Amino acid sequence: MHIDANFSEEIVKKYLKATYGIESKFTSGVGNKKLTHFNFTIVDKMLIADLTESFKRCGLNIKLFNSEGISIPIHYCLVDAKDFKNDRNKDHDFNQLISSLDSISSSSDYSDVEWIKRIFSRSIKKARNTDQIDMIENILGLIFKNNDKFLESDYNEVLEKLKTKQLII
Amino acid sequence: MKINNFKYENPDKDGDIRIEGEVTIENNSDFDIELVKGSVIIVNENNVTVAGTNIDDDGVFIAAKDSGDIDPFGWMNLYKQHFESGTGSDAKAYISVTTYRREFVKIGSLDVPAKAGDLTEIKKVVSLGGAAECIGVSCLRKKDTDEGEMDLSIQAGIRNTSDDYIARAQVTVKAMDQRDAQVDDNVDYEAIPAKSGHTFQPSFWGLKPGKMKNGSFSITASVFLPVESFSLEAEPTLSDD
Repeated sequence: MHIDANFSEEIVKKYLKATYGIESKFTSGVGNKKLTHFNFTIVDKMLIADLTESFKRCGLNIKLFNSEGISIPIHYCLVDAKDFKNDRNKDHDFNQLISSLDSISSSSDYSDVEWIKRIFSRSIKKARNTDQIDMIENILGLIFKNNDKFLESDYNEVLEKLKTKQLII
Repeated sequence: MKINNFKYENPDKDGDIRIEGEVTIENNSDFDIELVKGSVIIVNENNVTVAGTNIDDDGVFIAAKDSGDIDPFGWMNLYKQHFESGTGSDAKAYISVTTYRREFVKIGSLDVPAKAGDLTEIKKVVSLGGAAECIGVSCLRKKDTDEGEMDLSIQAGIRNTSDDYIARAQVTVKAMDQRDAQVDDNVDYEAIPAKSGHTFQPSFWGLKPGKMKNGSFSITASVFLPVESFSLEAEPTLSDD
């Protein structure tokens, strides 16, 4: 679909829904850019990032989302966008906690050590198998080794909870 | 809230400076977080704004009492001309975020009008989490288009009855045939300020009258209500890469 200064937002929305099965909405303009002297073509392999950027250059914001109203990640291309699902499997919460542990592990604040311990407690509670227990134990070892604010007493406290959980699984 | 791995890269050949980092949010509440909105403002050594972006992460899910990460920067770049040093070493970020929980409500089922000129209605006011209300839903069937498709005008008004800003009110409409199989769907959302409202007008294109005979529209709505707000200031360090 070719977009030029005379395009209609309604027709673009209809085209994106009919061709790619995705919802879209135009929101308030950005900056004071003019809508004249621009044109581009919407093609199957166009990235969401490129489409939004193209409209942004015209002074318009466009949001693209799936049938649940969840934004489609910008690295998706249009032709694949309808396949985007934000499914949360049963390990979602566990994986997210592990990711947070990974992010925060290098923190040097004492207050964050308490936070790290809380995340450990939550992830131990949510662990469902020995692989996940091993994963937690590895991260625990790494944090103890690399973060001098994470003391041996902290390490032992978490390890004890981990061993208790290990007995249950 | 904490920012981790907040890094800047040396300028590339075009003078662009890439910055990256993750923000970890601890959800201390008893609610699951399903939306995070906020802002990033980057200043230079004179405390003057040189870049910024909005955070609008609707794919996030942080269970009650859990922690989760968001990417606040996206593909944001700085430029070496923004800084006297020509690098990102003097950059500073002001990051603010608010977390939101979701209240989901089934509004009801609306019959597809049998012929042009017919109006069908959901005649009730439905509370959305005590913060907003849906004031019924109507569907007027107009004359079919020249392409033989149904021309429907669906109207669903949502009023913010609270004193809070509703960051997102969302209405989903599913077109179901007489065998209760989904034919099409539509989703739309808007922010609704306190004591204000918005009329959602979901559009369906290409619905054939025969396909939708004795069909219905299944309507649900969600409002996202604020849970907690955080802010921080941080300065990036040079990336190892």
